[in-house]
Amino acid sequence: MAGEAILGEAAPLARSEDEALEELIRTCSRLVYRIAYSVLRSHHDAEDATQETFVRVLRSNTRLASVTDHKKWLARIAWRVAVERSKQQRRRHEIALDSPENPVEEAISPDVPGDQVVHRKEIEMLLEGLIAALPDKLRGPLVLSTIEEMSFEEVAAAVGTTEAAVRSRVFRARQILQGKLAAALQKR
Amino acid sequence: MIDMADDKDNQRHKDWDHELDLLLANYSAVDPRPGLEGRVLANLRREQEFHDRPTMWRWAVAVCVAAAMVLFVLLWPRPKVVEHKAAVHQTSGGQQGPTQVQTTPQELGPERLAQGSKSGARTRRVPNVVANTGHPHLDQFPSAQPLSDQERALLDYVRRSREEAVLLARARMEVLRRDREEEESIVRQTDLGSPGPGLQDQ
Repeated sequence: MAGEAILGEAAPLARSEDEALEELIRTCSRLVYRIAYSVLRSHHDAEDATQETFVRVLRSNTRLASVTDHKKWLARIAWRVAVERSKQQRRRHEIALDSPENPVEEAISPDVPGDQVVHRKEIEMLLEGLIAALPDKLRGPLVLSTIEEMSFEEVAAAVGTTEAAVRSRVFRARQILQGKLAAALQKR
Repeated sequence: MIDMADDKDNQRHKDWDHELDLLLANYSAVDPRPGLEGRVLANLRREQEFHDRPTMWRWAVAVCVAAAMVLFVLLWPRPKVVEHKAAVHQTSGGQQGPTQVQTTPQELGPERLAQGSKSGARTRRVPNVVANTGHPHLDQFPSAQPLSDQERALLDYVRRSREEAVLLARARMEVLRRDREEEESIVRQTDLGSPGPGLQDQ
């Protein structure tokens, strides 16, 4: 019925802003965290960036009810927060130590041989270094595209460009990574 | 042969592509520590409370800062103004600059008459001279300030005709002394109820 449809649409608007924010936190905090981690590569920093993202949402003058796509909007804020923190870290010349945050848990599994696990870790670290060496224009779309919750359209909204540009940059970044990875592994 | 090489390249390319897909899939496949939502909510509630808290304490801090600034300005040591006591004092009448003095030939010394001064009452302008006010004075101008026009004129005059300047100074002092005595007698007689002689003459 038309009346019920109208009432159904009006119901979310009647919710308080706090409830909407809580709902947003429950549904999107993991996405925000992954966006932050893809840039900062540290669990501690990623959680700080997540907190800061939602604080900015709280302080922003934009009413949540007026936002059409919460996911895109939130992804853009999270991306900006993560990039700002990354720049601050680079300015302070912070060196990321091999943190114990990523323990080699796979070694515990009896199914996977230990040497393969170590080899896998080495390749992952190599890949991290190669991604970090990419130009900013290519690195951003690439790392966001690795997040399974994000489509190319959402990646484009987060970095502030078109979907076609994102696809093109991701393709170019993958080409570079492939070449360098192959060259590095063949040397070993 | 060439086709086989191309096929091998394509296969190798596909293998690397697949490998890269796996690696990139793991790149951001991380989960936060359990309870992230709870921590975020708790943090936001604290932010909200801080924002909603009455701002009285902020005003108190602002008032304290303003008061401290005012005290600082008031108590800041100011440079003392040094009063230079000039050798030239004012006359008893508080007059400055050249004054008109009524002199008669009798009041001037014989030396002055011998110099061919005009007879009769005449008005001459004399610069202010040092009056003995009883305060200690210095022999020279103490301040580093430049001389005024009047002081320079006085210096020139004294240098040119020292004796005349001395005589004039003495005459001036005598006139002032007589004026002071006359005023005092008038005041005394007024208190006693009878007019003074000076007023009668006038």
